[in-house]
Amino acid sequence: MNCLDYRRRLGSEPREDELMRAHRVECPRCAEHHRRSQDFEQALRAAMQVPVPEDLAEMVLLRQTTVRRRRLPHVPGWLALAASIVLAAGLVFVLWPMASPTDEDELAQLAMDHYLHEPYALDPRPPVPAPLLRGSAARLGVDLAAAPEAVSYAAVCPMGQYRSLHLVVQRPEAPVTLFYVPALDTPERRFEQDGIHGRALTVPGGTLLVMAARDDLLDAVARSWAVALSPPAEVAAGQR
Amino acid sequence: MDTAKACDAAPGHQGMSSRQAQFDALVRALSADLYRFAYWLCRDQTLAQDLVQETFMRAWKAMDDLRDGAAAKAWLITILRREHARLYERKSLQQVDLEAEDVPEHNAPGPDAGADAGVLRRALAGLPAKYREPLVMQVLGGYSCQEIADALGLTPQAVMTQLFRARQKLRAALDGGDAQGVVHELS
Repeated sequence: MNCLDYRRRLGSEPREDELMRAHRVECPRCAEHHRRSQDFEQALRAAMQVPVPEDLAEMVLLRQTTVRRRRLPHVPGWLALAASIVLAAGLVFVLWPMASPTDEDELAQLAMDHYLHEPYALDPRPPVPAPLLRGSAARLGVDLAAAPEAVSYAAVCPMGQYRSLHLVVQRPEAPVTLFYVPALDTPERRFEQDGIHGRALTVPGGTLLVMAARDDLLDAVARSWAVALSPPAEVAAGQR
Repeated sequence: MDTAKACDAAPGHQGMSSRQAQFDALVRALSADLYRFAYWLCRDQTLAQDLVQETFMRAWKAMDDLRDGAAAKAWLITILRREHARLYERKSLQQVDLEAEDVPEHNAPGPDAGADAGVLRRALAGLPAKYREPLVMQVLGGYSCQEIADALGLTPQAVMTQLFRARQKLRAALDGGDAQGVVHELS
């Protein structure tokens, strides 16, 4: 390889192969050319690093989850009409009573089913990084500025007709699970099934369910997270 | 009543291997890289965001095609380039003629690096697409000349020539010349 070959190749492919490297080691002028070329490549990479919109990933995920939930299979017109009638009947006779804020048993059962279906969520893990936790909360419209304690699991989960923020915190005695369901008003109550205790309470932005194998853990966890998940006072006042 | 469907778990912790968790991780890991790639393809911030959104929507539908996680970035860039081409076909968009002030500034440039970056960005934005696209694929995408040639339907020699000329034009701009100016090629 001669100097001309070396510089031509370096100008199109800055990563040297063995042949190029061998030439550079023996040629001081090409070694200097290589050094300048490396400086240029560094400047080029830096120039291409244009600023990225801060919420780009969240916007992509929001759109994807929204489209996924709203997408319906294509059906013929007559079938769609029939389905609409059935759906309307269903809304009147089924969904409306389920959505009633007095049906606290339904919500507690949904939470219990979900808890028992995902035992792996209780496993100890490193804390979920704060930006990811905030991102999961933001997908449900919750501005979780500061978590009161480390969270080992965070997910946005369907629970029947609701979407919930599913969190797990690791207490020394036992893991404690939280489900936050936004924009739902449920009377406070306690429930229990298969040795799992639960407490549901209304917080300003929705309903919080706290569950654990030990009943004595629920109140303290509920108190601290009820504050963290509540909107700021001025926002709450503005909603009234 | 089984209410426990797959959750949209926050990535960064173990235990969730659902399609949604994989998708979340891809978006968080690669959306910035894809945005920069898209920006240098179309040189428009809003269009670049749209391209990234469309790319990930198509990726979500085709997630089952992604068998090798290490190939995810190249896979997404391929989708993005197709979307970009489709967009130009559909809308018959004109190439954007950028003014210097349209090129976004770096977040935290150093004193000299910032000056160079500004000049280089303007020169990059002014490069003809046939030079800019392979260069962006190489620098941001990490493609080899052979891979660029395969993607663009060119010979490796043609790609090498375009990359060489692209760099020459940018160096000329850094030296106070014009990125569109005459290039003295080694031949």
